[in-house]
Amino acid sequence: MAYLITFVLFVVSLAIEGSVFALAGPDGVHPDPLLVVVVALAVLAGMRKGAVLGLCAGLLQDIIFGAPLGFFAAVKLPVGALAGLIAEDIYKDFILAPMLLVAFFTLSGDVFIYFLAKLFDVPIVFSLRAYLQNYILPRMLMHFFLMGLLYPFLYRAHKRKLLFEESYLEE
Amino acid sequence: MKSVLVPKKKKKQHYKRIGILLLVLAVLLVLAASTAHRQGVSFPEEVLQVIVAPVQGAFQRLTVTVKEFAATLKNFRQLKQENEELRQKLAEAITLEARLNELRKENARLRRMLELKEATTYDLIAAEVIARDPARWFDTVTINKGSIHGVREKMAVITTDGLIGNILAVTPTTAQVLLLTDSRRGVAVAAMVQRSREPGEVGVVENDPGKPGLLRIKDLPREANILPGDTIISSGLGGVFPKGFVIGYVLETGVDELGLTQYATLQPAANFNRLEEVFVVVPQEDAIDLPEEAEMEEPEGDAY
Repeated sequence: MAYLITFVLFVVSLAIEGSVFALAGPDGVHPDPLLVVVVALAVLAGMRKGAVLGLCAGLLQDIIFGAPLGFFAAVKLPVGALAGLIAEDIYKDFILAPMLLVAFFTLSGDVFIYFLAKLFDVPIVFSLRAYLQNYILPRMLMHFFLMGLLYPFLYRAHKRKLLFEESYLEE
Repeated sequence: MKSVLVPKKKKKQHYKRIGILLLVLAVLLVLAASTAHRQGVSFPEEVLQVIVAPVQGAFQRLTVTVKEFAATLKNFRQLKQENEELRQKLAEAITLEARLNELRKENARLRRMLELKEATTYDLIAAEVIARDPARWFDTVTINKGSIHGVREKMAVITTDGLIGNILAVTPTTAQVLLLTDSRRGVAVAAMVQRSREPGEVGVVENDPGKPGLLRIKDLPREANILPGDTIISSGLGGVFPKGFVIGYVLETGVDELGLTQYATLQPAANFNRLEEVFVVVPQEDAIDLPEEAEMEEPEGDAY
């Protein structure tokens, strides 16, 4: 069941990212719900599963958006892993934690993408500063509030054992 | 909150996992670099795209709907404002057009009145109808000229089309006109057939009770020469109505019950339903005492 729900969440996130959410912000700046979902699921499932979820989400994004295979996966994988790692030391019902985490991972993920894009010769018209101001900061805010909306539902699903269980490191 | 202190075993596991993570990351970057310029997709990718495509399509349609709705909302205010402006302009144009038509008609009426005034030998006092019983119980109208303008009781009142009645009552600034169509008070006018003008054909025009809106000329001699279409004019006999004003046109003729005289039904020359500007006819003997302004005064209103 957890696989199916996760897959549906990924697919719907990708679908709305390129459609409905394209209307959410200024031109070219729109939320990445997949990132929000990955962080939320990683917070609930821990580091190992978070890493796998990030990897799968990234690969799916690469395939659907026609990016070089591994491009978005290389971003989502560490996001999922680190979100899961950090979440091992926080309460799952403390909603502000995933909200702050997603803002942080938006910043780090988008900066990573910026350099990755340079590495892959993807044309970039912004300087890093302009990119931060005009793109990353609005997205941080969007993801912050989006997580606030989404996380309670995922937390409840997690409580009902509909999502992946936590897998902590052995004490 | 879980313990902040990390045991050694857990720390080792952390390092191990971070190492694996970095390794996988490196593999992914190499993979991305190697697939950056590839053409086509593999079978699993194709399957995934096929699965996801309907979902994307559904959301895309939803987006289009949302976009269209947003565009409609965005344009709604502008359209509403434009609509209001256009409505206002239309209302102004309609008002202007109505006013223009009104002035055209008034101009035509005034021209006819001027022509009549120039053509007639009588002194005429131009007046405007200012009131009429809307229920038409009484066939009287009030005009805006009274005794200070030289209007006296029993003076004949005409329009450019013909005779309409006489003055019933006078105040200093207004006067009431009793119309020929009044069935209660029965205005009678000495008349004659314009075509033959024989004295014997003089009749009295009274309103026709059986045919409201029409008039009747009666007491014509049995052998009088009168035919449908004939014009009936005032004969001047009796002294109330001056001679020569058109009263109406013969619609049909007939013989009375005793078979002694003829009568005829008349279509009034004037339209009694649309009385706006009228003339009060000043008898020749009164003309000497008329105030000058009253004699020459035109009805109010702009003429094009």
